[in-house]
Parts: sequence; structure tokens; C-alpha cells
Amino acid sequence: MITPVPKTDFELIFEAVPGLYLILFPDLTIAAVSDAYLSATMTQRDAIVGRGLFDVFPDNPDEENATGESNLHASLNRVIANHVADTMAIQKYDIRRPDGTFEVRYWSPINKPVLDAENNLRYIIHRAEDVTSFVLMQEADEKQRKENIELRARLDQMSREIMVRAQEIQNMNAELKQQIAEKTEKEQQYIEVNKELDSFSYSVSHDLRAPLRAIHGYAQILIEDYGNHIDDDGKRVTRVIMDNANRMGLLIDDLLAFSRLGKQSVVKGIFDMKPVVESVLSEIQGTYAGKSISVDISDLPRAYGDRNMIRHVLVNLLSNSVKYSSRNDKITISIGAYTENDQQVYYIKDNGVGFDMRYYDKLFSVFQRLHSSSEFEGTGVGLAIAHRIVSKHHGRIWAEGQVDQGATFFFSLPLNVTNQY
Amino acid sequence: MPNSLIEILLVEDSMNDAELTIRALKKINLANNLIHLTDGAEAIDFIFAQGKYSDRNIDDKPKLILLDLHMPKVGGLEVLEKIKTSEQTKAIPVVVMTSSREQKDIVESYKLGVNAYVVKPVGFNEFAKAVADLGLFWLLVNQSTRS
Repeated sequence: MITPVPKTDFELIFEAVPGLYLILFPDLTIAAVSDAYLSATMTQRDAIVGRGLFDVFPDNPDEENATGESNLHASLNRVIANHVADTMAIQKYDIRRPDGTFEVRYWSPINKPVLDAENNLRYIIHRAEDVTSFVLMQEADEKQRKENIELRARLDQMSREIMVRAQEIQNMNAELKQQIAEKTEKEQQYIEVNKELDSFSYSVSHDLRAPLRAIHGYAQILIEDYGNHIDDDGKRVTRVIMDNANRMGLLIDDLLAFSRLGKQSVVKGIFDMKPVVESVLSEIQGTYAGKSISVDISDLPRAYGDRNMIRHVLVNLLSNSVKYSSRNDKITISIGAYTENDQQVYYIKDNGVGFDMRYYDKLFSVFQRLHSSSEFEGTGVGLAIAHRIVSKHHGRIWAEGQVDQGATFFFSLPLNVTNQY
Repeated sequence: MPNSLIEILLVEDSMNDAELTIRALKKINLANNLIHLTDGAEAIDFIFAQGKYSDRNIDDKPKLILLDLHMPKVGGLEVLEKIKTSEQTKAIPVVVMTSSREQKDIVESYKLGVNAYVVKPVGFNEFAKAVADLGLFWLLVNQSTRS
């Protein structure tokens, strides 16, 4: 036999139910409330029972777009009008703290009519479920999602930028490859040109000299075999032919020497300059026997360069000095050196015919001469060769002169850092 | 019959150079038994007694070969190589006479065993002197090794 629950206990039971319940009169004053509701809304039973629902739970006045109150009102009105339960969507309905501030809350409410036997509305049960943490979690998820999207977007942006950079690098690589290809092609062309130049100088060497030899040889035969048929002027003319053939031979030889120099590589070493100068001088003095040549050689530092090539420079410069001073009764040549800006400068000074600085530009050019070959013989290649050799050493060659006041020729060689004097 | 012996074989495609050479040799009486051929192929045929020279006696060797390098068809270096790699002919003195001052020609000639290398000067007197000196020297050397 089950003892029925005493009627008085129902109030006790209702207040203890583990749900958030509010019982309203049809005029929306609060009739009863569960303990859970009170604790969730931070209210006291005495303070709210008998008061109007919206008096107790107003919207958060700080929230301009708050719709909690009006949505609840609409739902309750529907219950009052239709006598059927009304489930509301999740509502943001902030709770007023005892201190008057509001706390964010989300609710999932349902309003259900309580009807009597005559179908009159007696009460409305308002049940609310606090879904704040769920909503907040969802919001957090949403935020995370948005952040993810943002991150994703940034990632996309970054990968686009990386793609762009990669494209740029690829373009640069392609450009570089192109440049390398062009360079290789140029080198190939350079090699080709060099080859052509080789065969050119070969044929110059061979084919140009052969007819000269014939010209000279047959002119000689003319004089030797037919001398008694030719008068003196005829012989003179024939000798002019022979002289010119000889001179052309010299020009070809010098030109070949000059072009061969372009291909020759510089083999550098440290060597004593003075003995080189002395040996060159003794060679030259031999060809000018009978001339009084006074040479003054000051201390010459050791040089760093290709000994044979530098000797060639000295041969050209010293023989020029003697040649262009040879009209003097006494030839005076002084040779010296000094250091300037990491360069060892050597100079050769003579008391010869000098030159006009106005024509300085032509001094070191091939086949350019400042004196006619009837005044001083030569082909105009010697200084060009000297210039080429010094340039190959990364040095400099220059001159100072004045007509009939002598000339000084300078050439510099880079100092070797390991060179100890 | 010593007079039929070839003293000098001149291989030279330039008729002018040949004439000047022969003239210089004549002046010192060395051109009496001289044969002049104008290309390398014919020179090889002559030296090795083949082709149109097949009835020649290969042992009837010239005492001196004056060889130009720059010739059509078969060049002087090829002739030189043939002479110096054959046991039968490598003792014949060969003097290369050329206009070429090219280092590679000189080096190559000496590698192949040339006996002398002369760059033909433009001046006739120098040329004649070079020819005469060479002719005298090598003919004398050759005679002394034979005796």
C-alpha cells in the first residue's frame, strides 16, 4: 500500500526539482520558483515571488539590441492566446547581479500552459535551461573558426607571396641561365675569333712574306744579272723597291709579334731589374758602336712581373731613347725608379729630340709614329708592344716630352705584397 | 755513276722561292744534281719510289731534302713525318724552309725530327746566305757520316 504524497509536500518537492522552473500567473506575475532557478538567476524567492516577471528580469540596458525580454513576452502571449506550449529559440538574456551589473547568459526556454478542467489558463510553467557555457563554447568555436579562417587566409596570402617569390626566383634563375648561356656563347665566339685570328696571322706570316721575298729577290737579280743594262738611276729605283720590300717584311714581323703578345700569358716572378737593364743596354750599345752613350742607373728595386716581357719593354724603351738621341754628339740616358700608390715606377730619361705633347695620343698606338722613317727608322710598333705588356701586368705606361728637350718614359708595375726589398 | 745521284731534293710549291733557292745553290755549285718537286704528294712518291716514281731505286736517296711546309694537298709536316718514321729514309737530313714563324710549326717540326728549321728571310742576300750555309753544312755532314 503506497502512502500518497501529502499535498503540502508538493511545494517542497517543486522547489527542490533539479531544473530551472518559474511558475507564472496569467498576468505574468511570479507565482513560484525552483531553488535552481533562484541560484541560476542570483535571486531570492522572497524578492521575486508576487512581482511581475519583467520587473524582476529586465533586459540588459547596456545591450542596445537585447531581444530577450520582447521574445519572452511574445512567447508567453502565444501561450496565453493558444494554450499550447511554446519552445523558444536560444535567447541571450543577461542576468542582473545583486550589485546591478549584468552577467551574460544564454537560455533555452520553454513556456507551457497549465489548464484547469474548464480549459482555463491557470498558470504558465516557464522552464529555462542555462546553455551559456554551451553557447559560449560555440561562440569560442566560432571565434576559433573565424580565426582559423583568418589564419587560413593569411596562410593563403603567405603561400601566394611565397609562390610569387618562387616565381621571381625562377625568373631570376632563368635570367641568370640566359646570361650564362650568352656568356658561354660569347666565350665560344671569342675562342672562334681567336682561332680565326690565329689562322689569319699564320697566313699573314706565310703568304704575305712570300711575295715580298720574290719582289726583293727578283729586284736583286735585276741588279746582279742585268746591271750593265740599267743606268745608275735605274739601279737606285730598284734598290728603293728592295728597301721597301724589306721594310714591309719588318712591319709584318712586328705586327705578328704584337698580335702574338695578345695571346701570351704573363708568368710573374720577382727578379732583379738592374742586370736586365744592363744586358739590354749592352746589346743596344753594340748596334750604336762609335757613339758616346753615358748611362746613369740609380738603385732599381726588384720587379714583380714576367721577366722576358719586361725585358722586351726595356729593349723597346731603351732603344728608343738611344735612337731618338742619336743625333746628339753625346747621348745621356738616366734610369731610375720610385714607388707611388702601390706601384713600382721605373723611368728612362734621355736628351734626345723629344716629342710634341700635342700628339701624345698617338705615342702608344700601333703603326703610329711621331717621326718619319726617313728621320728615324722604325715601324711604330715598339711602344704599342710596351704598352700591351705593361697593361697585361696591370701597370701603366706614360711619357713626358718636349720637342728637342728630351723625353722621359715611365712604366709602373703593381708591387707584390710579398715582395721584400 | 755518282753524277746521277741526287744531291738535293727541293720540295717547294712557290716557283719564285724555288728559283731563288736554286740560284743561291748554283752560286756555290750545289745545284748540279738538284730535283725540284712542287707538292708534298709527289715528294712522297719520289722519296719512297712509288707511283710515277716506282721505277726509281729507293736506295738512291737524296743527300739533303729542303722542304717547304705550306703546300697544297700534302703539307710539309706530313712529308716530314713520313720520312722520319721510315727506317729507310729517316737518316736523310731534312731542312724545313718556310715563311712561317709560327711557334707551333717550329715545335711540330722538331718533334717530327727535322734536322734544321729555317725561316725564309725577305731579303734576298740573307735568303741566299741561309740556303748556301744549309746546303754546304748538311751535304758535308752527310758525306762525313757516309765515309
